[in-house]
Amino acid sequence: MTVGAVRPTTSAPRAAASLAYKAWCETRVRLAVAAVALGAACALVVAQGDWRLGHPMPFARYVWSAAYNDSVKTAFVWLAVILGTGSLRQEHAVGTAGFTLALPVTRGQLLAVRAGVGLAEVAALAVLAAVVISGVSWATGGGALIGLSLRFVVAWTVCGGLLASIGLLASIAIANEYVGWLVTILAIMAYQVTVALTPLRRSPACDLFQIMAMPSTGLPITALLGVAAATAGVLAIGHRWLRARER
Amino acid sequence: MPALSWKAWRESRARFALSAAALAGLCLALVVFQAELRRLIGATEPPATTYVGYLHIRLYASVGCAVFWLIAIVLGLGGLARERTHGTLGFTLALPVPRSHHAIARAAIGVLELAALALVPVIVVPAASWLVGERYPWSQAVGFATLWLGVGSVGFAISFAISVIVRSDYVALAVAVLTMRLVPSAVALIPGLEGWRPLDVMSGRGQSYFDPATAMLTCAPWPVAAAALVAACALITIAVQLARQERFA
Repeated sequence: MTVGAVRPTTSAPRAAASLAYKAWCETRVRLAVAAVALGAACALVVAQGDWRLGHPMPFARYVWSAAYNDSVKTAFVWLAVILGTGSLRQEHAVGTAGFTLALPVTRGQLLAVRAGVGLAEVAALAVLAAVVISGVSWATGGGALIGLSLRFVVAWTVCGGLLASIGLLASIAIANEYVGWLVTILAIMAYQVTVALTPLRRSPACDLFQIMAMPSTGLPITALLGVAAATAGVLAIGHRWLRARER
Repeated sequence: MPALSWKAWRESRARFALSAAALAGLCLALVVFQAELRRLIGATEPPATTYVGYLHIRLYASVGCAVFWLIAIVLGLGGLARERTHGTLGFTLALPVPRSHHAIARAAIGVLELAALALVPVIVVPAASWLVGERYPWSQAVGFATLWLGVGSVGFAISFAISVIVRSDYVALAVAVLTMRLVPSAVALIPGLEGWRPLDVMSGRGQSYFDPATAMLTCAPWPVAAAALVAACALITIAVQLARQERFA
């Protein structure tokens, strides 16, 4: 909070609820578009695999390779970044930053609630993907694959949370939405290339995309805890940048 | 028109500069670290064992191609619908020019930027190859650049049309990204178009103008690039018409 500013008088839960509603209103169309498209993609990928039931490849393996480790995963990564982006920097460009900053809350609270809503939406998207994949798989006779889907919900929520946080960090640093998203995606690609080129490739726990694909064999708890810690670190950097901007 | 083009350039130059830097960096990295990367591929048979084959696999048929497709999406976004959200629409519409001119200027600048970006590998790859003691033919680099420009223009035009229809910045971005992700799969499902997925056309995979044995283009792919540019022009024309009819409250 700026020196001399009025101390927040609104109770913390009430303020958080209002801010969460504001963040929800700002992102709900994005979430709806993402949910419809991801749901359709999951359904198509699994339904397309129906004919493979007689194929030597087990159905669960097909679902993993075609959905959880291929096109749906890539779409999820891109969408997680889009759901995470959006901060005071963009509000400034649109001209609504003044109204937001007039609210009796700190910038830290704004960031925390925005990040929380982003993470919740990413989790909702992961759940949706799992439900659609399991549902279509069950309907086409391949089995519900509930255990597999549940493991992927956890892994995708945690990893998607990190991607959304990076998107949020980029939107704190860069005013232009498109440039911010492009920077994030290019940074993610650069990270992938770096992992592939360095000794890091020998350690799957250092590869976010490997972690996202790993639950086919079991939930990588340690790696996921590392990802969650990285998310907290990214948000802490975002908070510092916001505070620095405040002075 | 020059003033509108200048405005369109100012609005998109950050995206363009970032894209150019990313493409140049990618091309340089692939050439400079070619020994290590080729060892990682672990290829035992040509064309993957050759330098030209390696560059095709790593640049023209995978990462480079995907990055260019992504850049085409992002360059297509913006326009009057976005300006409304940002509160600058009044200033833009107050200019004494028809609304279609805004869209045409933005589309022209976008396609020119895309052409400039397609030229990045043409300059960087052969030059960097020469520096590391390898050789990549200019004619091949120009051929792939032509394909990238043609197919990239179609991607740009789809994204451009989306930016005219969808008003919110992030929603337009989400719709464009998803459309671009789904277009290749959708094309593959249409009978007769299975082999014409955008990334396959850009890389030459499965096309008559590409020789998989040498990983080289067998002829200049002008007809394909020209057809793609015509399709892009048609899409942009539709988008311009939509922009003309748009009513801004």
